[in-house]
Amino acid sequence: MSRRSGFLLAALAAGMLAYCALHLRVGNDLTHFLPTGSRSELAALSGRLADSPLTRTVVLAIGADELAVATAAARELALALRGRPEVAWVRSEVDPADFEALRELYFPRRLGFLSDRPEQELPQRLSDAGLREQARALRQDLAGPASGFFEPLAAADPLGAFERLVRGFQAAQPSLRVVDGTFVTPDGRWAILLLATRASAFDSGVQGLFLAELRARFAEIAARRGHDLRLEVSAVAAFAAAAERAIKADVVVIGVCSFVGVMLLFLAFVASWRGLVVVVLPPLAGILVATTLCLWLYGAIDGLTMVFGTSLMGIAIDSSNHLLLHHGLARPRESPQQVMLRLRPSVVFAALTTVASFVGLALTPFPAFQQMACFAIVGVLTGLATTLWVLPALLGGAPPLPARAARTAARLDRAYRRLEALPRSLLLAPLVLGALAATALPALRWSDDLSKLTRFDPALVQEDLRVREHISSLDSGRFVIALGDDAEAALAKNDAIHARLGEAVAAGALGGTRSLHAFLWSAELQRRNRAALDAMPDLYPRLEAAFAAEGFRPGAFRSFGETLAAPAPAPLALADLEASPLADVLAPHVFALEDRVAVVTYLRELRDADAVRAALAGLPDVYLLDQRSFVGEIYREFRETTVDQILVGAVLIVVLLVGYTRAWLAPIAACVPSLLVALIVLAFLAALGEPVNLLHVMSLTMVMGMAVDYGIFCIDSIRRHEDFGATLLSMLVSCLDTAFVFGSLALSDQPSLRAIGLTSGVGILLAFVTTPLVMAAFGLTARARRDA
Amino acid sequence: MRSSAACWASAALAAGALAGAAGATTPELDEILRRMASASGVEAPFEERKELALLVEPLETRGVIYFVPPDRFARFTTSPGASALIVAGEAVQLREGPEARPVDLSGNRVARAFVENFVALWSGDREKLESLYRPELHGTRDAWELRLVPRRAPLSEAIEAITLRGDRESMRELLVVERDGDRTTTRFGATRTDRVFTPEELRQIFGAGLPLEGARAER
Repeated sequence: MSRRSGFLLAALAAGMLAYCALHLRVGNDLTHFLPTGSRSELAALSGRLADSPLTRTVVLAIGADELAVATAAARELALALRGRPEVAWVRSEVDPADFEALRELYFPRRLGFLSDRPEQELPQRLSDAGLREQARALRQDLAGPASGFFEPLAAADPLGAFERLVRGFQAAQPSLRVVDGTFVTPDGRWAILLLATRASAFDSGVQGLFLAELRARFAEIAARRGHDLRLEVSAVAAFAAAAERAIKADVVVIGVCSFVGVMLLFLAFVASWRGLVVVVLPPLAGILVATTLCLWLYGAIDGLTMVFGTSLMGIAIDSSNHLLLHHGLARPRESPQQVMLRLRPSVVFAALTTVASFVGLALTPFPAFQQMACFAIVGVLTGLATTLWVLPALLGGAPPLPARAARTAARLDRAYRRLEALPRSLLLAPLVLGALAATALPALRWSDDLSKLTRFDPALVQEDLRVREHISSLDSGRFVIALGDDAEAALAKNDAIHARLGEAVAAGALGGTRSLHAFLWSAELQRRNRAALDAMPDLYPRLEAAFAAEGFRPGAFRSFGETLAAPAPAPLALADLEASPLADVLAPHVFALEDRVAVVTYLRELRDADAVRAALAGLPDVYLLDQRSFVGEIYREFRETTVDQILVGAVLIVVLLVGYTRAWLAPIAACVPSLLVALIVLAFLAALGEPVNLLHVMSLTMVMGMAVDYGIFCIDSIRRHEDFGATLLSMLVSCLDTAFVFGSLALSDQPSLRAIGLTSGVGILLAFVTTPLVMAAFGLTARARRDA
Repeated sequence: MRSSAACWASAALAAGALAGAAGATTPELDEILRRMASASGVEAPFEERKELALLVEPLETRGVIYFVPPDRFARFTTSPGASALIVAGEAVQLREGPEARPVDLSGNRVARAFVENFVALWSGDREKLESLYRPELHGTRDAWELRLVPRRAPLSEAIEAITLRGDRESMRELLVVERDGDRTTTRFGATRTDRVFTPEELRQIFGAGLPLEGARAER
């Protein structure tokens, strides 16, 4: 490589470094774990619901030794938060103007909201007997303490349509009351402030800063006002921010442990600065290029991808170790280019099999795994390119390796030869162990619960639960969704859903619902109500007669008669409500999904999902979505596909190896260690009773790919009758590197990272041990010597 | 919202005035207010007569009022139907029928006005009361009449005047005249203004939202 090329590469690296520094953004978007593309509309919906106005809502509970202090603090905090760029809206109190606005919106259209089933119900309700019954009910209401709300409207609304609407609004609201104009919990102990952020709840960078600022503002207020003021927060964003903090802390620990481990190994077997550069350059180049590309493609790097990226060092270091140690131990001495030429087939082939093990991930519909695969593939290929074209230039003039390296390589070689001398039956022990491990597989427990991949601070979870109990008892992650080509079609389906779920509630299968139906019916249903009234031209005289018979003054309902005679106003539409004070309340219930409209009904106490599903049967494009089990199902499918991919990948690798070695025994020997590693690790997890999740499977895929690399290095070394000791030493160093890096992942508090760490750390050590054993068991060296 | 203001204002004022009946020969507003603030507790059965423009005949209701100074009040109807209006501090809760779900009305504009009046009266705060009403006191201590004219919305939009009538012992009648001509007259029976409620009774009235045994027996 010329000096000019070197400068160009250095400039390119500096440019990428600057780009990363300016654009680095770590995301922790759980929606990335949901499939995209053509998987199904339900998956897209699930993703959309995970990032809906509902998840962007933040609930603040403010307590003090006196409620008046808490409500005053809530108002002050609301004032401080209003107008901030991160905040979409803040609600701490009831605006009397809202009531008037709603009255103006609904009252003229009240006759469109008489009945969910106008054709069936209204003839009975508006019969002479039905009208008498309504007259008696109105009379009773007028005697009651709430008569004042409806009495002034009763002359124009003797059928009580508006009263029913208002009661429906009240039932659909969180169970808060108002003290001194501020929301407080029903027990009167906490003032409540509701707000929504503009950014996604999973934009943990923005959310982390906002929540910190919010707490700082509250601390100022609490310090000034005293009275033991305290703040509790319930927000999806709080969890996202906490997860990012935890992952960032993990990255530091993992980075330090990896660095120390790699340095110790380096000091033991390389002990020169130039050697260090040679070893770490490919992985560093891989991480830099992969980070740049991922930031450019995705705008942010997922937290898990970032951790995975730091671990990539363990993989990309294999090839550079292999080159460095073979160059240092070559007798007689060879130029770096000669060594590279000698090792190139195995280095390239090993990198390609590693890449192949990640290609499957790239083809999944999960954005998070696509990003990981992109990162890994780009990182490994960049590492390979650096090893092939940059390292030989750097190796020239490198000081010799310490004598310890040569001694260790010689010991490893002798150990391998002793291994070969052992009776074949003993050498088959790993295979027997593998067979035994296979028998333990039926005891394996699979876990596909996404929530178990992340562990949150129990105090944060408890705080969230306490605040949520104050305001709502809706089940999180359980919805009924109606999809329509336009708002009207979706609302019509929502009308039907409301009726069917009402039956499910009556049957006890469901505790209750929060539905858009409380606020809006389809235009068609509103028109049907009016049509049912229009079909009764004698309604007004009959109503007058029925109400007069119950003691109402004749002519008292003249304004109702005039309303009936006048043309009906246009039905209330979604657009009308979106421009009203109800817009914030509606937002979690309705949104566009590509070119369709989705209407969401939230469920409370789903006791019998099958019964609810049966109640909804026959409604097209209507789904009962239990997000947790739905995502779990997707993960199960993905995990099963990954396991299938491992098997298919193994066969493909064998085929490739057969093509490469033009033999059948060596390729099998190269693949057997990876199979053994998988069986033993899974049996180990089964014996521990540890449920196996997707990340275990992913880690296993990676370790198996690395085990195949080791097999390739060994076979190549054996075939070329080259220094097997140097190959074993390079395997040992890279295995320990990887074990250090992945072992440090096992230190993480996050179950997801621990799963990766344990599986990879144990797996790679097993790969190092089983590869030479299998080579010896297959008698490959002896066969090579014979052939020679 | 006119009638609700009338209904609640009458209930609140009734309880307050029940506690503050005049004792000397010449009635003094300050004295009435002072007695309101110093009452240990009030229990008063009532009969209410509503004359509404919608109805040919007046509506008659029976029930009982409880007042626990300084800021707790409950109005239960027992006939023709059961209902409860409960105020505790600034919280206002309404229940129509024993099985009905309670409705929180604390956020309602009229309910808030009601609570404001309620607090002004029962705290004996003359300045506050005069900022809400124009009071006119007439008659003798044996037959006094206090007329309150609301000064500001929403009460002034709905109510023309509230008139409280009483004697040396207690208040006997409350009349609310609304702007649309509707009139509500409440007459009080054997009123106790020295009532001391036990913790169990308070739990029943303000916790469970039920009237005490004697009142329920009237149903």
